[in-house]
Amino acid sequence: MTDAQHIAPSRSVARPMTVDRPPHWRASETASRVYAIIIYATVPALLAGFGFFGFSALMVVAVSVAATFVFDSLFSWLAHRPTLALHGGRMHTVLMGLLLAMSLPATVNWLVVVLASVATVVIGKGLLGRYTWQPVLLGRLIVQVFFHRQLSLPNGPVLGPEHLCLGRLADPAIVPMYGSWLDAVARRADAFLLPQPLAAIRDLVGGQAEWVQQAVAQVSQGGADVGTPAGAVLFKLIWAKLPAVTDLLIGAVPGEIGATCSIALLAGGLFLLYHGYIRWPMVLAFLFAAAATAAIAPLRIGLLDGDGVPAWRWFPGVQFHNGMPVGPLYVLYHLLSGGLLLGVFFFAGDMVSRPMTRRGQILFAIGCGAGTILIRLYAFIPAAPYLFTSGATYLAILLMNTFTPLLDRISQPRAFGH
Amino acid sequence: MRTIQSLFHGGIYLPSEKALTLDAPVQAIADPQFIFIPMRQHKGAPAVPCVQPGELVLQGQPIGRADGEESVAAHSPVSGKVCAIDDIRLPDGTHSLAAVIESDRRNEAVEHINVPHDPAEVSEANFAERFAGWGLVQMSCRGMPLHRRLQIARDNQVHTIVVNAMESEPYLTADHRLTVEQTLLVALGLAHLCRLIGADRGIVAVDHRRREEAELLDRLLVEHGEALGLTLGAECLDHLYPQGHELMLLKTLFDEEVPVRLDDGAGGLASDRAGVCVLGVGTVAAAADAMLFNRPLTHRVVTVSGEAVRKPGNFLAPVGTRVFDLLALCDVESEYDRLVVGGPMTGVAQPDDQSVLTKQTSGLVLFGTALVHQPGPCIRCGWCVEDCPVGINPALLADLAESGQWRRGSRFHAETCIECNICSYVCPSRLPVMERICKLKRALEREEDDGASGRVGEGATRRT
Repeated sequence: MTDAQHIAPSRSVARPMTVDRPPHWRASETASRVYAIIIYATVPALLAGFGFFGFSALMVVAVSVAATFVFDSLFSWLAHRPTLALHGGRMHTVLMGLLLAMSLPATVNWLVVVLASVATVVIGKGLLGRYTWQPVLLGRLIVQVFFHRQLSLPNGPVLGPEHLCLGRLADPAIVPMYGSWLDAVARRADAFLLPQPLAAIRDLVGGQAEWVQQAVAQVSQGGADVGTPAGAVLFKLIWAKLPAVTDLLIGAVPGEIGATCSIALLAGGLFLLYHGYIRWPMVLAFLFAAAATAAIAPLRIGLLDGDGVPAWRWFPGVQFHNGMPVGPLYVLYHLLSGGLLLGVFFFAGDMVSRPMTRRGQILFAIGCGAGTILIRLYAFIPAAPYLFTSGATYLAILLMNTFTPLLDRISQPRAFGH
Repeated sequence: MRTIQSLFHGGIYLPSEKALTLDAPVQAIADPQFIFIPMRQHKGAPAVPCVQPGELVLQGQPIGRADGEESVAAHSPVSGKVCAIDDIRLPDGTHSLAAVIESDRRNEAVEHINVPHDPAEVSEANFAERFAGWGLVQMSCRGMPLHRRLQIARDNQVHTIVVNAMESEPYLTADHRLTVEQTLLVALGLAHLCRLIGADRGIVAVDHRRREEAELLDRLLVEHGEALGLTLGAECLDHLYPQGHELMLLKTLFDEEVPVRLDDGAGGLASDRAGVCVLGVGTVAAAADAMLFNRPLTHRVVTVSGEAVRKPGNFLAPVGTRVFDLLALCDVESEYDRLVVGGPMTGVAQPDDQSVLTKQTSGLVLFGTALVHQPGPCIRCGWCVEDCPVGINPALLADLAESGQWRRGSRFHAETCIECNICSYVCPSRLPVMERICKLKRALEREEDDGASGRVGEGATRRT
């Protein structure tokens, strides 16, 4: 019994109104903005990479981003994967390309870069674009197995202080005794070959390396300090075999393009923390677990035994030598080298493959931190002794990615009233 | 007066947007020509129309009588002629019979209303009948008849009434203006409601940004409470959203957590189990109005605001006013995109501007620009988990709902969800997270009912 008389026409709208579901407004964050900001956070580390590894680093980044983008587009089209077109999809692809380049050394062959991107896209992101294992790390692991001679070397080149960005990385000069990057020796060369910090640390576990045996033998005969040669051996390691801590901070050490400069990585990480894309507890848990494991895990820095191999000594992190805190310094080297910071901020912090709950993230980070050090020190393949000098962080994160669904289940927050 | 910090986990600070209308005094609008009074503005049985088309009615005259225990009467807010009894669409999308009244603009009232009335005449024995006769209902979104709500509270031996003046939705200022302008009414209403259900304590929860309002209210409450032997007062609470939800009020004021059950409907009655009854400030003021002046519930304060409104304001409008009649007073941009009844977090978007104000309509918010809502895949940022005030994992539950694994939902406490919508608000992938959780809850409810009568489609409609 509608009475036409009292139904007045709508006065206001010429075009139809939108009927949306609540909430009728949204926070300003979108997935593509999230990825864009993570991309900005990689910039300092990438710039440092260009500085210390020059044009080759630029090439690796360009090839990696281009290849990842092309293959992701191609594969999305072939697999009818919808995620690329949705917001954030393309940004994510670019981010994956950048992260891949950051985790590869500048000396790597460009074909290896392309293969790594293919593995990242096809095996890492998979058919659905929803992944359990961080795709870049998975792609990198695959090429690492096949091309470990290119990715895991006991030493690598760095451009000289007067040849930043523009020097040639090929034919590096060999520096016999490692001082610091700013040494006069290094200034003349375009680039010079340096030992990987972690390769020297690995020698302490192998016990076979000549310098370790010499150091232990020397200390053992010293008499006065016979019971505790550990501090002296660590002193030798830091003094003669490792770069200065300042080199690690500015990134003047051989390694992956985006993994060497600790200051740049910390700047990027703080940026992410400021935006809330990663949270303090997780970062601190990672660093603390790594530091604690490094401080405790035994090294062969004790007395020589019958076979001429140094004995295991626990707690290297608390050793002192002539009042010098060599143990804590040794732990610091662990934290600042081998891509650990890159792993903390960009790979463990990867939203998709980390647990969602805070408690889950802390457990995850503890596993990553402890795993990194254990793999670095004890995962040993005779055929490729330095395989894990730099890949340990990445492998540990990949392993912990496996447990992400489990951690999510067991670390549910307490529901209201339960 | 000290600010009480929120005790629940999570929550977010929303942009308030209240400044648009915060200081705009409530303005009584001229009676529109046609008024549509819905017979169902509450949970339970709709009122039964008791007037015929063509009949003349006076202001405050009942035009629908309560149909049983779970029902209240409906009154005409104006004097005029009944044109028709018609079916109309309410703002929540459901339909109801409504009496269409053409106002004669003379506003002649029924004899005994709008005159001082002795509130002591309303007693524990007769309040159900009196309240139903005045058409009193909860004026928040749930809309249970007030006498039923009070009876349930009495049966649960509630010792405290909390009046919710938090108004945690952005843009809305109707409750704030009502509290400022009718402070005494709120205080007296609370005192009398406490008396009726035998509660000995009453607290008004006020947003800490409205401290002056709270201080004045506190003085009046203490004064009138002492006279009746009740402990009354006001408290300032932090404006962390959703502090205005009753369970969050309970948590912050008394540090009590009541587990929500599926049949509570987003925590509606759960607080009773802790001995606390939460009522909206509008409801209390309307009850006081009725008890002190014998005035049925025919008008309410409505905020009209939003980016597409050039002259936003707070209005005292007759219940049954059509939305466009109200918008005509506010100089609305003609090309606005969305009209939302209620606040932007939980309100209902309207397909047109033809629906009417009900007793539960606290505000109209108009947005000028379209919102891109195309959802992407979950990027597992974890923000919904961090901000969830009831400590569930919304992303996980939304996933379970999408993949149809409903039974596992109860293991992850889907029923605890209070539908505050924070998860959807913060989602960077624009996923309708809460909507999916609601779907899961409806499915669990159906399962609990054992599907005896095959009511499949029913759960899909929004609760009113």
